[in-house]
Amino acid sequence: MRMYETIFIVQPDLGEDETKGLTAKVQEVIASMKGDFKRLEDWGARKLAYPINKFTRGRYYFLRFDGDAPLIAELERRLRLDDKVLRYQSVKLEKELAAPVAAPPKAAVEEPAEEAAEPQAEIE
Amino acid sequence: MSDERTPQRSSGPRKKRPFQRRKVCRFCADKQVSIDYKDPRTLRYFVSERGKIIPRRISGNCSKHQREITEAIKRARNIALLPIAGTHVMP
Repeated sequence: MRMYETIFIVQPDLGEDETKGLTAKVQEVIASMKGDFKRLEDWGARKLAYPINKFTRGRYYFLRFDGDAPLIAELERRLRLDDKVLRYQSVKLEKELAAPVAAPPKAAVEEPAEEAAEPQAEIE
Repeated sequence: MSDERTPQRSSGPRKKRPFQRRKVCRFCADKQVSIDYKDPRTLRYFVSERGKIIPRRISGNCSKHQREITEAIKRARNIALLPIAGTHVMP
């Protein structure tokens, strides 16, 4: 068993059920290939550093799991086939990270328009 | 003949820069700081305005950590956490 982490970026404007379906599918792949699912984090829609497929924003998912080589091949094949996935990247970990990286600083990356919109929502 | 300066450098003999190189790499000095491709804020420090990786002679990193930084920056570029070339023009 090897430790892996995968980050995949999906289109930002997907509905609730579509993202649910996608994450469920990912977990199902891991389960069916006898992998060990650790956790899946949703980092939310963030601004991309450069546009991918004409999208300037993307929804980041961080997946941490253990598994073997056929599992990662199958997972990447599935992600590649899915049009909703803009980009994915799997990294094999040498050692477990001591502290899980918290959801990245959203405020710094979010667009100012959204930051302006948030306080209004709180007031109302 | 052989000890003459290259013809391009016409402004006299080259002076030694007064700038002293930082002696320790900041990751060796502070063991707490980890290099992670998922953390673009620390990586930004090692990237020029045009998105290029800053060389070791300027950043002052040791070779081990410079290698790790380089790896992390390249990974971060792949997943659009760091720009590939400066700030891209958004459509």
